[in-house]
Amino acid sequence: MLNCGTCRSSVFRDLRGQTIMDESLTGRLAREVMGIVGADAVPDAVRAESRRTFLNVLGVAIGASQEAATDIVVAQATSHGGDGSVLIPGREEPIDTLNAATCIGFEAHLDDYDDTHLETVIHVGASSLAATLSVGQELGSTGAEVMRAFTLGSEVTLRVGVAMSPSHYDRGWHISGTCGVFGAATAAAILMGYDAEGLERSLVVAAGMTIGVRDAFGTMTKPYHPGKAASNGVLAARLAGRLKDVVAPDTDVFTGPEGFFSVLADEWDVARITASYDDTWELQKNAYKPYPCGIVIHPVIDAALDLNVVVSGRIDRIDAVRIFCHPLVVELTGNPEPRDGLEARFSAIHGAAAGLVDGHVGLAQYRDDRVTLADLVALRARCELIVDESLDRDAAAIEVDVDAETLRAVTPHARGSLARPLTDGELESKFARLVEPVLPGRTAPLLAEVMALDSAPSLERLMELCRPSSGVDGVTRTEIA
Amino acid sequence: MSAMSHHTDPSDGRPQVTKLLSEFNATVAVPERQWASARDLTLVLLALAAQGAQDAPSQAVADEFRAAGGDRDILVQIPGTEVRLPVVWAASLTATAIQSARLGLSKSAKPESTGDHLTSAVVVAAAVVLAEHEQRSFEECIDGVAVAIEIVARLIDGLAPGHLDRGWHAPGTFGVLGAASAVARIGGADPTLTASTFGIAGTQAAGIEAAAGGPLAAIIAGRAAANAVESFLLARAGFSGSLRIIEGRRGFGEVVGSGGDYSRIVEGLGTEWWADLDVARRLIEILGDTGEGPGSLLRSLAPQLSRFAALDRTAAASEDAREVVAAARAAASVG
Repeated sequence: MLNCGTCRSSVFRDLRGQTIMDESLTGRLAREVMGIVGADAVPDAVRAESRRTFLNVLGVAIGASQEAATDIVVAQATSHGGDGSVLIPGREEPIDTLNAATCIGFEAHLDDYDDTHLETVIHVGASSLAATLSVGQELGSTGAEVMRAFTLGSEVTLRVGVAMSPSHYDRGWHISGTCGVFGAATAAAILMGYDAEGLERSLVVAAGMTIGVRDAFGTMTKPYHPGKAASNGVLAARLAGRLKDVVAPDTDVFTGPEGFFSVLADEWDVARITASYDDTWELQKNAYKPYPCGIVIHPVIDAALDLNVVVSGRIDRIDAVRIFCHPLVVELTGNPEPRDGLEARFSAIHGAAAGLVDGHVGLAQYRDDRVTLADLVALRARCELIVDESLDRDAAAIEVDVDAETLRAVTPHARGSLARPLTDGELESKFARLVEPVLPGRTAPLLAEVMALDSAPSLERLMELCRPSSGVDGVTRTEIA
Repeated sequence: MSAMSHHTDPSDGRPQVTKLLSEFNATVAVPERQWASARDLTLVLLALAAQGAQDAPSQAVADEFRAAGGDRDILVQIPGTEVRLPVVWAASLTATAIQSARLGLSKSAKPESTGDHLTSAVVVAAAVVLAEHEQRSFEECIDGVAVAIEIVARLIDGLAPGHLDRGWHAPGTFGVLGAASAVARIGGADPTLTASTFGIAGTQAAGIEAAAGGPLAAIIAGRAAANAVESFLLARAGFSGSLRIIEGRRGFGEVVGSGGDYSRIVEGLGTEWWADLDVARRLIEILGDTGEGPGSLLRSLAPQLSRFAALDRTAAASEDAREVVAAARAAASVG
C-alpha cells in the first residue's frame, strides 16, 4: 500500500483485538512499542541479533575514539557543553548527556565500519548506542533496560526508514540521521520510564529535529549525523517530559500533508511501520561491515581480495582494472581520486586498488597517508568503473589485465550481506581488531560484559572497561603498556 | 562582487552559491541603511525575548539545560534566577524566548506579514550570543545580523516557494543558514571557514510544519540557533562539511525542498540589497506603537534597551555587545 496523500488516522486494533478509532500512526507506534516494553516481549532471536549489533558498533566506536576528528567533537563537548559524568567508549573525558550522545554517535560512525540495514541503507547501531549509553549512564539503568531500549529504539528507526524507502534516500537524505532521531527518542523515552503518551510526545518533538543531507558524504559531517540524531532524540524526549502539559499527544507527525513522510519522501508505505511484531523485526535484517567503507563497495573489495592472491607481486605490470558493478556503486562511490581517508570511503576504485595491492582492507587502508601513497595512486589511475545493470547490489566482478592475460573474479554476494552474514566468530575477531589498539587486553572482558549485559546491574563496569586509564580489570593502561 | 555567471561549477553548471555567499558574508561592507534596520530589528526582538523568557517552552529549555549544568561561558537571565549556560545552549534559550513571544503576536497578526518568515529570531539570537562569547562590539554584532538577513532574503527568494510549499518550517531551515551566516561574520570567519560553517549548519536544517504547532515552533527556533553556533565552533576547530551545501546535488536546495533558481540567489550580490528593511517597523506596529520608532517602543517595553536605538555605527563600535545583551536580560528580570 503506497501513500502519496493524507492518512492522518485510521482504525486500529489493540493487543486484545479491541478496535481503536482514530488513533494516529504516531500514537499506534508508541502504544505498540510500550506494549512490548511492558510485557518484556522482545523475542530471543531478536535479542541475540540486537546483542550482535551492540557489540559490533561498540567495537567500531572504540576503534575510532582516538581519531583526530573525534578529538574535535570531544573538545567541543568539553569546552562548550555542560557538566556531566557520562563516559564515551575509548575516552577519558566525562561529558554531559546530550553532548555525550553526539560524541558516541560520531565515533561509532566515523570509520563507516559499523552496520547497514540493506533495504534502507540505515546505519542503525550508531545512534542507538549513543542514545542508550548516554541516558543509561546518567540514569543508572540496568543492562537489561539498556538492551531493551537499544533494541526497540533501533527497531523504530528501521521501521520509519523502511516505510519510506527507497524514495527518501533517493531524494538525497542521509537516512541514518533523519530516522535515527526517532529511534533515539524512543530509546530515551523507554529508559526514562515514559508511558505510551510520553513516547508519543517524544516522537512529536523529535520530528522537528531530523537532520542530514547526503551532500555531507566524504566529510566529517557524515558521522556527525547519527551523533546529532542521537542527541536530538534524547533532547526531544526530555523536552517532551517538561512540556507534557502543552504538547498534544495526538499529533500525527508522520502522515498528513505537512507530516514527516510527505515532506521528506515521495512515496511511503504506512504498513511497514505497523507490521506485526509477531513476525517482523527489521533489526534481524541488520548486516555488519567487514570493511570500513560504503557498503556498496564491499563486493568490489571481495573480488579484489580474491585477485590479490594471483596478482600480488605483479601490481606494477597491471595494465587495466575493470570493475563491473551495480549502478548505485557509481552514484555513491564513483570518486576515482580520493584525497584522504574520508573521501576514500566513498571510492570503489580505492577499495579495489587497496584490495589488489595490500591483500587486506581494514582501517589502515583508509588512513590519509595510505590513501595518498604512490602505489595506490598509480593503480587507481588504471581502474575503471563499469555499470552492469544485471548485477545485484551485493554483487560485483573485476577483470585485471596483467602480463598479457585477463584475470577475472566474481562476487555473487558480498561478505557481510544477508546472504553471507558475518559469523559470531568473525564479529568477535573484528571487535578484537578494533579494541586492542586502543584498549590492550580488554577484548575478552569487554566481550564477556556485553554477552552478560542483560544481567548487569548497571553500565558502570562496561564503561569502565571502555575507559583507557581504568583499573577495573586490575591493571591500568599504563601498566599494560 | 560581479560577473556571477563566471562562477559556475563545471560538474553541473550551477552557480557556486555557497562559495559566493561565503565571500559576500566575509567581505561585504554593510550599507548604513541596512545596518540601522538590523539594529532596530535586533533591539525589538531582544525586547520580545524579555517577554518570551517566561513562556512554557523557554522555561522547559532553561530547566533542561540548567539541569545539565555547565557553569561557563554565557550568563542567561531567567526571571527569578540566574544561570550560566554554555554558548550553544544560551543561543537555544534566547531564540526560544524570542520566537515564543513573537509567535504570541501572530495570534493577532500573521507572522508572514513581517516578510521574513520568522527566521530573524534565530538569526538575532545566534548573533547576540556569539557576539557576547567572542567579545565583539555592538556594531559588529549588528553587522552580522544585517548580512545574515540579506542572505536569508536571497535564499528565500531563490528557493521558496517550493521549499515552503513542501511543508518546511522556515525558522528551522532558512533560519539555521541565516544564523550560520551571522555567527561566521561576527566570528571573523574568512570565506573558507564561512563555507564550512554553512556546510555543517545546512545539513542540520530541520523542522516540519506538522511538528511546529504551539510551543514546538519556539523549540525548533532554539535548536536552529544552537546548531548554527555549534557549527561555527566546530568549523573553526577544523571540522569539515560540504562546501556546496546550498546548491549541491544532494544539498539544501535540492533535498530540503524542491530545487530553485540558484542564479537568482546570487544575482546582484554585493551591489543590490534585497532584505526587507521594514520588518522592524511592522513589528513595532504590531506591538501597538504610535510609529515614533523603536526608541519609543523600547522605552515602554524594555527601557534598558532604548538607549541602543539611538546609536549609529560609529557610536556602536565602542559599545561592547555584552552591554546590550545585559540590558536585555535586565529587562527580562523585570518582566
